[in-house]
Amino acid sequence: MKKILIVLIFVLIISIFIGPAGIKKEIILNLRLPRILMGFFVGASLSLSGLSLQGVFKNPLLEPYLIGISSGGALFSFISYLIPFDFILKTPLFSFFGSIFSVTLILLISRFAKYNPYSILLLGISISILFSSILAFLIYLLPSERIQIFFYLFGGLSRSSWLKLFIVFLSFIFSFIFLLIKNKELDIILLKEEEAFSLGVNPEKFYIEIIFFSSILASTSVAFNGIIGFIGLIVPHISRILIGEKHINLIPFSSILGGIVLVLCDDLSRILIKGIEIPVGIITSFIGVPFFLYLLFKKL
Amino acid sequence: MKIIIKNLFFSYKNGFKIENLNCEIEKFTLLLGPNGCGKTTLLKIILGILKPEKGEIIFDGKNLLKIPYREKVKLISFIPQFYSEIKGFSVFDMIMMGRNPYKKGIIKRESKTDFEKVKEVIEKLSLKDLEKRDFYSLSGGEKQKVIIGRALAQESKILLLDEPTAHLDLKNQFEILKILKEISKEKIILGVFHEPFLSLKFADKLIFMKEGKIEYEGKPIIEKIFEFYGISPLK
Repeated sequence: MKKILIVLIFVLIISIFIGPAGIKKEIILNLRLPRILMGFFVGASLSLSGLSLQGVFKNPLLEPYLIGISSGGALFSFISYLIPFDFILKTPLFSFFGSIFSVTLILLISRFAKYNPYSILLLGISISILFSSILAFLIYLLPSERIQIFFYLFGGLSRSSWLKLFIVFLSFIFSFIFLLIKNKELDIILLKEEEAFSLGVNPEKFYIEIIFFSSILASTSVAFNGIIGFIGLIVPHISRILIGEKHINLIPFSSILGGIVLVLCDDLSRILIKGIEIPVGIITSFIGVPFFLYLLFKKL
Repeated sequence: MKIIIKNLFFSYKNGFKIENLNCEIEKFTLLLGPNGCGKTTLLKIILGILKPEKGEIIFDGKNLLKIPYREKVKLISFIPQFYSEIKGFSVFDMIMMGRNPYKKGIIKRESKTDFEKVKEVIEKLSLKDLEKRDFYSLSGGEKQKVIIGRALAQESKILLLDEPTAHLDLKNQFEILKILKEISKEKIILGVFHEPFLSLKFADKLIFMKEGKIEYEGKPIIEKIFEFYGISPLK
């Protein structure tokens, strides 16, 4: 754990100096620092969301992006941008309801398949595609001067601010503490359903709690930064290989590693092509898709 | 000490039914029957995962189907056929999981009693040398011993087994059955076993199920096994 904290500090310091605008106090304080910290907490949130989903459904292929939590959140966040009146936490609230809506849809349909992990994955992918298509359709209908919103689909950290960071931080810390408190139950749920049930962890009740917090984690990230895929898939998997499956270690470790990976991907997005900033969601997908295929073929 | 099952009715959507099942489970009871006869279903009903349509399961004057879940998990423990292959958990951690039903408060930290109980089980099952080893790295027999240890730490009164020796060699099967026999002095054991001949030597009672019904309930006699499976013994 000490080693990863040192790596984190190193990555955060390096990231402050990366960017086309050089090293100016205002730029660092108002743009780069909130963006780097946003990258850290979004990465940590997505990783934690994937970790808990993979644990309860016993499927290493699950993550918020692939099972539609992110696309539900993205669609509803986008709808919130189209609503003319404003209120506090409008976008994150819409995003959260979108995520919960898509998860509820998946769970309701997958009840017929008795929560078979693969049916949840396939349903999630279908719903993810459906919501992304609706989102693309809505964007298509927009007047051309508002087409900038299109880039929302790719996921990026460039619109970070201290206020948005504070909301993402709150949702992360709230869910992190909850999952840490539940670390023993998360360990037990890794066992067979009958075993977990006989040890006092009722899987059906526990699924709902975990999905609720996974949705909070992913939806606040999506609300401000669009869809950033595959962090929730890659990071928990690597974390398990490095430190085992005990959640008391895994929850902090995979959160920190998720933060580091996204901050590094964001650094890459700023320096890969000179003068152009690539949305970080594209970078994570480039890394994530081969990794997903590797896991899929390993499983098959 | 016994479990009395009265007028139990259960049905799956695929048409399989348990109709008016009545039996008594005591000491070390062996549950046998062909595949799909309802053995595992019965275990799951007693455990509480499946809810029957009608009937009672009486233990110690209480109906197990009516008692709250929190109380029930202190009464019944379960040992599966295949243990979960999870990494990073020591033998101590695995046995400590058995104390989960007793942990209180939001944080559910282990109490002094929990630690003492786990240590006691480790001593009892001679697992001291393996205490810090990763569960994942143990042999099949050792793993099953640890799972039994977890059930002991749970301090339940009833132990349900679903083919716990199916993947073990003869020596390990024998050792596990010896431990179970010892445990049956204090707890009721209901076990489904894939291999009836060895387990029969240790059991106090035999129940044979067929198509959701009890075909035989009584002394564990080898002739009954031959009769049910349609085998003619060698002369």
